[in-house]
Amino acid sequence: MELMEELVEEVLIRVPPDEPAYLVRAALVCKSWRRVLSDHGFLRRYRLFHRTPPLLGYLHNLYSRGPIPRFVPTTTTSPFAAAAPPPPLGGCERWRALDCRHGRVLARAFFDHDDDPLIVWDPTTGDQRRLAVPPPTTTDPRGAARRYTGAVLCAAADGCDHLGCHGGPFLVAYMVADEHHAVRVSVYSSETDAWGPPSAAVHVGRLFDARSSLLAGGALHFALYGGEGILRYDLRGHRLSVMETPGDFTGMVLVKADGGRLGFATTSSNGGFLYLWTQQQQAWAQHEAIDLKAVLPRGRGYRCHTRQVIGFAEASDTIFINRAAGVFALDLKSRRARMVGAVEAYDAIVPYVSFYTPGRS
Amino acid sequence: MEVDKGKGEAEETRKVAEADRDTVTLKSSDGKLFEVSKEAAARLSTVLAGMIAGGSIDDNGTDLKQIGSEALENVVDYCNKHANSIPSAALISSSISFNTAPFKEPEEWERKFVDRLSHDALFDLVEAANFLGMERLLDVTCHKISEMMKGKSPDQIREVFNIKNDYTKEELEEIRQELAWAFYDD
Repeated sequence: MELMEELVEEVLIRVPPDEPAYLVRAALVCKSWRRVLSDHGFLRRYRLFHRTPPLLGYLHNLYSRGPIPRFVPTTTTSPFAAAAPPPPLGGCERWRALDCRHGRVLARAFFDHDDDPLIVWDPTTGDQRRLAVPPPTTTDPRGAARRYTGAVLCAAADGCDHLGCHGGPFLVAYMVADEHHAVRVSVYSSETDAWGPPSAAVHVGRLFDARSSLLAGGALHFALYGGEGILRYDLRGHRLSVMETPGDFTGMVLVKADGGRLGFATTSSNGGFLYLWTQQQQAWAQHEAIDLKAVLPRGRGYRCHTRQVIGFAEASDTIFINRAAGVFALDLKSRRARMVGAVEAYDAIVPYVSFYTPGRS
Repeated sequence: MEVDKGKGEAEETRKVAEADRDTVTLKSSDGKLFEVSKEAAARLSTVLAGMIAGGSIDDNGTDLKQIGSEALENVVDYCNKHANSIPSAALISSSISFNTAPFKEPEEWERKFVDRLSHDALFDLVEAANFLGMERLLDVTCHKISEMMKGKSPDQIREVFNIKNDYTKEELEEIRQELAWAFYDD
């Protein structure tokens, strides 16, 4: 028997978002289903209904298998599988993924020039925006990757739920350290298509870690190399500051803890436990220890890599752990883990989390 | 329904008598009668809650002309099972705002309840749930139907939903090429 039309919507809205192919196939069933699936109102309801955008894959900057950072799809059938390796960005085949947030990826092309451009890339539409970097504050050529970092975020007014804003206005924060380790940040606005003035400088002991940023409490946070400090950029005040961590936490990953507070995750030296630290009234406290043996599938090797915690997806509260058996995504809320990729010598990965629906535009 | 029992007027007495009955009788389109707990009916169906509050419940069987006996039996069965299960916090919060509330997984007994239904019975039940404004039952049945689409090709989905393909061959081919990635076999 056929389903009443008003119920078709109720059924389609419940199709899980974690396999994007399901909705695309549904759109090919008949024209009226396709109309439903490409309706903006429906898609908005769909995103609100599921609330948490699914993990579609992750980017990394390993060059062992070729010069191009790869997009590793984490779904059975992926819109990005055909496009792997990802397209040249900014006309350059070599690039480094720096950050990903609100459906956009921030990368920097490698032409091996000081003024290598930044690229904001929307993997679902393929749109790219090439940004010239702000004028350098140093003439010291010994820059390399630890000298700069950046973040991308939605620039929509407060109250955006960031479930489908990837086509809207955005900001890019780009920070560079000079030869004295003085860091300044400049912010690009897609609305004005211009960089604002650089901030006042702060001094950091060590330079940037290869990890992407964490947005919490109106500020972007960047781990500094060695895990002894966190660079904080207050978005409203356009002000940088350095926060200390309570010790050497090499290999830590910044996370968003309960109530949107800043935290970080690190593993015990034998790799058996995941420790979550949170900031509580200006002081850091170890908030929780998660026994990884209890949450990760058993019976596999637990050979340690130098870096075990390799990423965090803000939108879905997921920590990525690199083990001998593979890359695991651990959902901090449900404490459920699943394997999402093969083990590699990852320093860091940049998770890509987004809704992917057939009627996007 | 809370009824003010302090007044002695005739009208009130009648209402009290009605309110004291703890079941309501529902009549299917083919004339079969079903008893259901009044509390569960009012809690799970906005339409029945409205009828109970508005006094339009017929002691000899309230006519539900749009619902066949098999579907109505399942509705009543669901209400009774629901009344007997311990309502969880998840379930209560899921019925606050349909479709904008985050999705709540069906509970184990709800899953079993829809799993045992035949294809036609499930589709009849989803329409009955819709007609009666039973948000949670609609949620559970629609979820089950959406699960039936998992891993299926457009052809197979058409078969399940008994839908006629109204695309031309050319249109289909064009979309298929555009979205080729979605049609690799899993």
